[in-house]
Amino acid sequence: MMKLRVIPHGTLGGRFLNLEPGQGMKVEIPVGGTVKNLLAILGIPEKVKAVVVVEGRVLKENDTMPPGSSASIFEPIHGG
Amino acid sequence: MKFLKINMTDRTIKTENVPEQYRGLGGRGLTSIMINAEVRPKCDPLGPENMLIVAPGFLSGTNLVNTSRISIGAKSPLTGTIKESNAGGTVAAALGRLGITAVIIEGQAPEGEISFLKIDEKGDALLVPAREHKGKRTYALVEEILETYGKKTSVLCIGPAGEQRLAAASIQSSDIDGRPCRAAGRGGLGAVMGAKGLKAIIVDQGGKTPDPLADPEAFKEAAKGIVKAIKEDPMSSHVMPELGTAGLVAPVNSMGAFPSYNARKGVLEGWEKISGEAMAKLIRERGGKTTHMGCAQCIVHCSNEFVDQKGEYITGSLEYETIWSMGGMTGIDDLDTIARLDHLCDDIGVDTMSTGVAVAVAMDAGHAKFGDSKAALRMVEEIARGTEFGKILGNGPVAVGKHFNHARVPAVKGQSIAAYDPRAMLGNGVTFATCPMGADHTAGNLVGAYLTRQLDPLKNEGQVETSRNLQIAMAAADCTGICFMAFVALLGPEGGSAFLSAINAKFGTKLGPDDIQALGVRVLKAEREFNRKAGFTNQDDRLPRFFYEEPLPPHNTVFTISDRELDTVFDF
Repeated sequence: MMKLRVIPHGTLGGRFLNLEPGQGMKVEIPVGGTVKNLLAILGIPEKVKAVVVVEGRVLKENDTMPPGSSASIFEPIHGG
Repeated sequence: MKFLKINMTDRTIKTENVPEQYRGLGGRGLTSIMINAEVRPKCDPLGPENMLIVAPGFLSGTNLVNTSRISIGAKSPLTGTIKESNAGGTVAAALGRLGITAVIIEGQAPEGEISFLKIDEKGDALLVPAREHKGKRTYALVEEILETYGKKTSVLCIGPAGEQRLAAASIQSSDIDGRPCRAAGRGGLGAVMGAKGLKAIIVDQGGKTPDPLADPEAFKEAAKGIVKAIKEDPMSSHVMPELGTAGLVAPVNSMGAFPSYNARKGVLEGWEKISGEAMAKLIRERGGKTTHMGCAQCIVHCSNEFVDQKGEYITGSLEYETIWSMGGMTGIDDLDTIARLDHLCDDIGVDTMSTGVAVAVAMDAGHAKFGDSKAALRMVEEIARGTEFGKILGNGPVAVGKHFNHARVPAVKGQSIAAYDPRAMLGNGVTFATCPMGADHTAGNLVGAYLTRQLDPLKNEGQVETSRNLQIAMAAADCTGICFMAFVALLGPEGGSAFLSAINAKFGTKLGPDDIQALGVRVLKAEREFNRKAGFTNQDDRLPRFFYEEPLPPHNTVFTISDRELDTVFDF
């Protein structure tokens, strides 16, 4: 298993009790686990199409999560 | 289908049928095509030759949801280009219900003369002398207007900045509660209105003579499909009502693309304090409204009411771009200060984005320290007081850069960029550089494409093409009166089909998607043509040098789209 820090933002923050805005939480996923695996462990359905950003880069669902990384997650949003 | 033509020089008012060449147009399409055809491109934007055109979208005034965007167009005193700025509120629906396709303000009142334009429930218009309202700020002004003319009245107005003809002056639009907190902020159109001698346009909301629908039954069906698409779309149905556009603060900072400290960094230290979720929590704790209906016929409710510690109203709909300009760019991580600056700008009648960036440029030049809330408030207050520095600030960031002889001014064609750094979101840089109206995120914002993984924001591949396609799509969407927050939900096949059906049912046409694209191209061509005649060339479609030379942390990248590639954006 590998440890990650996950920071849910925006509407996803409300899914995790007792988290202040911007506060992170520790999550463990199997070594070599992907974005898809992480979201499944967090209980975020695929239909949400949650965005995972690590070190400023938006990851794709089959990208491997870097060990020890800090991941920001949120729902997609457009700007106009 | 009628034009209301107001000549401010001789105070004549004419109502005429919409001429053939402008039929089927609305919103930005009408303002831009008409300005290109009828305004001398090299005219003084603050002189009598310029026109100020107020045009609801062609779906405004129908019962279709989220169609109350008002387009206001003119030659811009800020950029010297053609300009359309659109705002929410209630006035587009009110004009649409009167069957008014556009209100066209021509000529210029004698120096010192100031008037209201009042349009009653029959669509008849009257110029009312308004000398006693000279210098008034917008909140007090609109309160008095509603007391005089009734609560069911929509208002477009200017504040002291517009009367002073400052190049970043806005035209404020009243919301559903009668507050002037929506803004046609960009391009200094408030200065054009002030130069015409017009303080407010006041429209009765009781109009009952909208243009007839060609096929009412088909329109009704299409409208149902549009509501369904909006309610099923995650962003329109719950992200926007919960966080509003402020929900972008976290994603854009996380991607290192939030221009901060006058675009010296891509992440604001302490951005979590001004994020959408932090704002929603604070508003909830204080008893304000995290979700609110701001515009006529809105079912998205992306608006909010920010209140102080006593629960008293400070400002209406604190939005992402303002949080960025007044927060990220100035290094201020305090929502209360940002909310007060937002209110101040709405009240004085200046664009929050240009003003926030102007404050940031002044800070970058050493006039005050980044993060100094008191200095920022003091500077913006100077605009209303009409001090020499206030005038410079109110003329936008380029004027501030010139004053301090400071080259780091993030603006294109005189207008500041928006809340996406071109070095970390290359495609937004393409839009900022090439938009015919100066740097403008609403013309074609790629942030959604990045967050849905359609495109890598740091790789050149696909940026020009995506910016081009979005600029065409937005030019067409801005003709209809639809709000962007609803439009996003109509990008899918079902929503898109319903939207096209609504347009066809309105006009009795059989337009397909290619025709809508052709409309967008037609609008952009008109805008580019006007600019060329005004003296602009491809060399004006460039970002400031520092975006090409100064790496932006944390990615430490620069803008890498070549001039040659930029010149292909409008290769049609």
